[in-house]
Amino acid sequence: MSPPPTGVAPGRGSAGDPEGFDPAVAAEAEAPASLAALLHRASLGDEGAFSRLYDEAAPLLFALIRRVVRDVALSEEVLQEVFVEIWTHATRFDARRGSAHGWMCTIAHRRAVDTVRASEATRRRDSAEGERILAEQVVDAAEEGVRRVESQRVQTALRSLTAHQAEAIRLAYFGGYSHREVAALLDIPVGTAKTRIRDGMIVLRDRLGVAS
Amino acid sequence: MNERQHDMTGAWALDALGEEERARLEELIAQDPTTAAEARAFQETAGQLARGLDPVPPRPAIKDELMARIAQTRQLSPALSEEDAAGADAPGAEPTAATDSAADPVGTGVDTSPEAAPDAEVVPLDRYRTARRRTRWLAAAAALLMVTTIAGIGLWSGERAAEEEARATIAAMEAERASQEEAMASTIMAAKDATQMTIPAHGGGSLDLMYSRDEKAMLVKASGLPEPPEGSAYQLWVMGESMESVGMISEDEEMVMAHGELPESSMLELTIEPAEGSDQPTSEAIAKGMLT
Repeated sequence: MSPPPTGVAPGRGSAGDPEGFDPAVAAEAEAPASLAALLHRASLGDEGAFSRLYDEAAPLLFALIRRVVRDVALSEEVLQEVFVEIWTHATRFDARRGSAHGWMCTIAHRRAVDTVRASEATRRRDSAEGERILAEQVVDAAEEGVRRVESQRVQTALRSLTAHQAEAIRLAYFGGYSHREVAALLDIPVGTAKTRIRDGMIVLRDRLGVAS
Repeated sequence: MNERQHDMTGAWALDALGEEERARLEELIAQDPTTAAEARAFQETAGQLARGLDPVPPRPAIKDELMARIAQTRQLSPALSEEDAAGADAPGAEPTAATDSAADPVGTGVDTSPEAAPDAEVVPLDRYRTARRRTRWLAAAAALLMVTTIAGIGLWSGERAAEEEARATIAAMEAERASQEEAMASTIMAAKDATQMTIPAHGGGSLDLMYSRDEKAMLVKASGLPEPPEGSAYQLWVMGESMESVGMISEDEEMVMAHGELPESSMLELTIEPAEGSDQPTSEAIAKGMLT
């Protein structure tokens, strides 16, 4: 009797170390951080995160500020103030109450509007100027619509408004006019302007998929 | 007003209300969850509208200045619930030095729940030191006078060259100035009696200052001062009828603000003191100047 052939090499089991399995590596490659995550880190005093937040958000906020303020040098000042405010108030951002993008836009828009109202209190009140801005914005907006997907989405949503609603909202948001000024520019009662804005916002909210 | 308040949410979200209307609506938002929900959704919607714009990259210099500014700008304490805040606002709570004019930027009728704490200061440790230093300066500066002398005393009232020089000074200071300091600089610049001067310090460096008696305001900035010895710091004084501390300077390029009367012929002095500051100078002045 010969011993049964042992086809199996004795040491085999020990060679089976699962090479390359390392739980620590399971962490994913660093994904681009969301605005909210960057904002959160900025709120902890992380200047690097704030720097990235700026890179991500500044071009759009600057576009918004410039649209309202128009003057480039003034817009640059406002942009800087806006980001200082984002820095100081990052601790107050609450992701449960809204998006980081929305929060930053609110700060930027309000600063822009305050600037315009303070510096152009008299300049822009006549309706000829308002009409001009309105016409210009419609053209601009239409052009921008073909450039970017998000932009297209917004333009589509705007097109679902009545012309009256759209012009009231454009004058208010991109023109920086108060609803009373909007009423004067469009020669409609204040109550009507207010209603047009709100009705339009309801449509936009639903079209743009903002949860209410 | 006969307008129905809750109809104003749309205009509110677009920043299209006047001050009073805004305040009234925000009261309503604080009380009425339905209105608050709508207002918040509209605010998000407005943010979406901004996405319709073509992004415009700002000049790189804007970011450079911004980063320099935020490096010296204290962040607000988080909004705390009442319970969180209860233990915090007792003794050690110092008044915040941060200018917070736009205290509630986000229209936060929405996010200012009634229980949001008044800024009871709970400051993460790494930020505490800076906040404290600024606070102390401001407090010390409250009843101030000023003076300085020696070298170049430029008194200008609107001459262009001088104005430009002042602007240059401001530009140089700009990066590290908190908004309060900016506001003060603008106020001084706008004053007819705006004065700017530089006081050299023994051992190198100098104090740059600008002030206005009319506005009872002064800004002092150290530049090029040698590092103070371990455990000590520079302290600024104004010698009028008595010697009063204006503030501490613990590192170069720091700026001190002062509000108060600036009597004729008072002296500004800089001494080296223990880091926590002294009640009266304990060493020879290393810089000294008379307020013209």
